[in-house]
Amino acid sequence: MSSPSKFPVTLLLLSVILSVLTGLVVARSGGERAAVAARPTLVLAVDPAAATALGFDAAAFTAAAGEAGVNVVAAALPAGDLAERTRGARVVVLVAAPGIEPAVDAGAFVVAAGNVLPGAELFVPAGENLTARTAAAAARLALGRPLIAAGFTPDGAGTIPTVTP
Amino acid sequence: MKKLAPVLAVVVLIACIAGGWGLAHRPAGEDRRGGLLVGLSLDTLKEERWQADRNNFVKRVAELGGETLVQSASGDDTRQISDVQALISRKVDVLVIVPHNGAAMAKAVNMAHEAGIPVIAYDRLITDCDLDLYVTFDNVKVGRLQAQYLADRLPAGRPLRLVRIYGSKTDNNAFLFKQGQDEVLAPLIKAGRVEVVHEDWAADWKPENAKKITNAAITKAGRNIDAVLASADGVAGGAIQALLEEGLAGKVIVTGQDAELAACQRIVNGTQAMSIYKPLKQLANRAAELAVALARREPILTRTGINNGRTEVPTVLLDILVADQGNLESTVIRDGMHTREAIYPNARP
Repeated sequence: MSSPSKFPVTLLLLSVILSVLTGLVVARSGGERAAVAARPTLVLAVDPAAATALGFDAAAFTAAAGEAGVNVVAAALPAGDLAERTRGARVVVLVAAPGIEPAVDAGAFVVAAGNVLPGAELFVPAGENLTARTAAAAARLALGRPLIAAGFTPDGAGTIPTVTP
Repeated sequence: MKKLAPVLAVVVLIACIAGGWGLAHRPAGEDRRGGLLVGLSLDTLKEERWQADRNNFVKRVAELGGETLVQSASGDDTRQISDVQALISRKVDVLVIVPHNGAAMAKAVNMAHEAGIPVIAYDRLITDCDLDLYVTFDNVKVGRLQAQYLADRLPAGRPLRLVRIYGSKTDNNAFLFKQGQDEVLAPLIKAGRVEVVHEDWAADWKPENAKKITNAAITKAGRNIDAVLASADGVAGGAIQALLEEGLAGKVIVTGQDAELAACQRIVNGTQAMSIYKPLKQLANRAAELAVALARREPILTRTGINNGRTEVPTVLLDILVADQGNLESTVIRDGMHTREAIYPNARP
């Protein structure tokens, strides 16, 4: 039993130890939350008719991007709320019919898969393994890793950097 | 005091919880003044070229709101690994490495990736690893322009007698320079228009090694040499020293690279014919911009990739050009790389 004169010192020391431990616990749980939040998100907006024509498989895309460490939020095209849906996403992938305006104004990087879309920043040409090629490119960009786009494709106004097979 | 202690204890308790909370909720890359922290690991700072690179890089990062921690390894692989470890422990958001040895630094890239830090190789490739980005000049084109300079000056009626001095075998760029040179020279050698009388690699790009190679060439082939294809200005300087001792300086065409001040002065004096001007400020600025973008995980596209033995590394290539007596004013002087007074020390004001 502490003497009355030592009580405040003991209490002080105990408080310091407890508070440091509490701080560490909070830091640890917060760190875990930060790690979960660090997993990037990309938006996949698909026009079903265009996807069928191009052989694009949205489920396979989502699975491949997920394996690469990226969450996928799905949206349908045409859609007026695409800008709202892409808010906070680094990358948005559009599988659209030609002529559809992407209507993305949320600062996301727009990848056009299969069909050229004016205003897109990257084009993944139609062809074999379109789903896998698009998922690989989009996931890499969403993760913040540089990507080689060696080709260029005319989009009417200029050219779009293009992933070559 | 006795009455104050419990109050003090409660205050400390609240402060520590708040500290822990703050630590837990500190956004990545925002834990120091100015936001982003960039780690720059240099092979060396002994040469003026790398001092300029460092200064320009640090300045541009600061303009973009970041801060740079710089380490220099003085040409020592082990020390450069330690430098990278130190930068990782300082929790940099992105690492930029000028490797002394491109193969040895693969380990540093792997260590950085384990800590979630992306890596840019600056000017020299890091081989056999999953490197994120490579920023450099078009090094194959460097070799091509050096060789083309000689191809445009072939003697009439006989082959050009050529000494070739390559760079350091630990620097992947040395092989790229040679590749570009070979592209131009191979058909000329085959056609008998160029005769390589001697060739060797200058270890660590040291001028004294280049001097020895040139001495060996003169011993082997005599004084009848038309040109020395030196891959960089440092080795050109060593070769020219050997040529001076033989009374051949100014009579033999000597190439170079980097447009170093001493090389520009030799170009003015006529002992070196040309150099390759690489806008180093542009390289440092571009690398700084890419480092900041990579730290922020912004999407980055490159036009080309270079195989490093493990993967096609996304690569940003900057253009280069020949610098000789005809264009020093419109290149190195105009861009502020060297002053007119420094290049022409004997010129009248």
